[in-house]
Amino acid sequence: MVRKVFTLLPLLLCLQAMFVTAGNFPDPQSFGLVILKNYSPRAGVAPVIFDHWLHRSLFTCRLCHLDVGFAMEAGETKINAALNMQGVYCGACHDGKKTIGGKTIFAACAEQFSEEEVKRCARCHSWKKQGVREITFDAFTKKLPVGLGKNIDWEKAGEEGVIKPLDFLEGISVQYDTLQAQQDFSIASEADWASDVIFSHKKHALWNGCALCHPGIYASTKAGTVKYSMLQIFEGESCGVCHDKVAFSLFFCQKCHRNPV
Amino acid sequence: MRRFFGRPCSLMLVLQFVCSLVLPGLGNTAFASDDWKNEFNTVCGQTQNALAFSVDELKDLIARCDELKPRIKKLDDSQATERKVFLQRLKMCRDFYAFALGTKVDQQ
Repeated sequence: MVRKVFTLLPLLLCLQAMFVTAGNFPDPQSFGLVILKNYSPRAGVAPVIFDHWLHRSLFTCRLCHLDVGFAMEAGETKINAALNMQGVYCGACHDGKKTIGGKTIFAACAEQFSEEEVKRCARCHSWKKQGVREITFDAFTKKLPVGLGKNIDWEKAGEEGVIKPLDFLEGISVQYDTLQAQQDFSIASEADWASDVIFSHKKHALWNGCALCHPGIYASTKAGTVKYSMLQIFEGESCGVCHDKVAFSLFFCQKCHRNPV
Repeated sequence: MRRFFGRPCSLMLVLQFVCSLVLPGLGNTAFASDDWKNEFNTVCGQTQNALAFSVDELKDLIARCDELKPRIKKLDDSQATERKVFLQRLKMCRDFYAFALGTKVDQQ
């Protein structure tokens, strides 16, 4: 009997760990959600809900965070209606003229608007409002591949051509030379229960280019200069700038620690 | 004839003088406005290949970024947002070239 208990103990511990981490799996719909409320409440409108799942299916990270100039930290850009109306930030695309997939992108903000046009405000200013959003998560993501934790597998979606994110915005983007991606490399793991991290420059540069990560997030490429720790990453440093916020969750260990131990 | 060479003629001369002062100025303003953006696009459009550049090429790109900075800073208040966005973009671009230069020097 005692032997049976000891045999089952590792399995029970594994199951317990799975349930604990399952509780931490992000909800696919709210993953990457940003609430913009720097100025909205003062202006008497609901805060803006920004869905990364919608925008990242259409644009690369670099286009918005480098070319358009959105900060990587939520709330840091200090977007307001006046800026949008000048054609920057949200207004860089949401100008009522640009099109995507044959559809005109609605204008972000306006100084004067009719009663009918108020509905347009609610397309973004929709915090705690039910049924005002035109594009819903379930309908939009129906055709996208699902990965771990029922989250969207963006990497696969790109590889399969289900999404083709734009990397150039006329009048705003720089026409970049073709990328010469650096080779993949491994980062040694000090834990014996986790394999080394295989880092793919190609996959990351496809979405981010080079200048979004270097030197701001990664200041050195010298092997061994930076000591990574999961604690720091969970606190939002290095990989944690994007992962667990917008890019896949840090609980999906095997996405980085790819090889079996 | 006298009418042609008289008051109207003076008026034409005055107009010509004003035009000679204002028009080239307008032309320069439009050109200058495009000019810094063209330079920005040329300089910062090469970040993808930065690690393939030589040390001298990278130093030249950094110097061009440094020359561009005061030109963007000079944009008037009507372009304050553009100024803010492009200064940030220029910083990221310049920092990346400096990073690539550091990497190159380390490799040597």
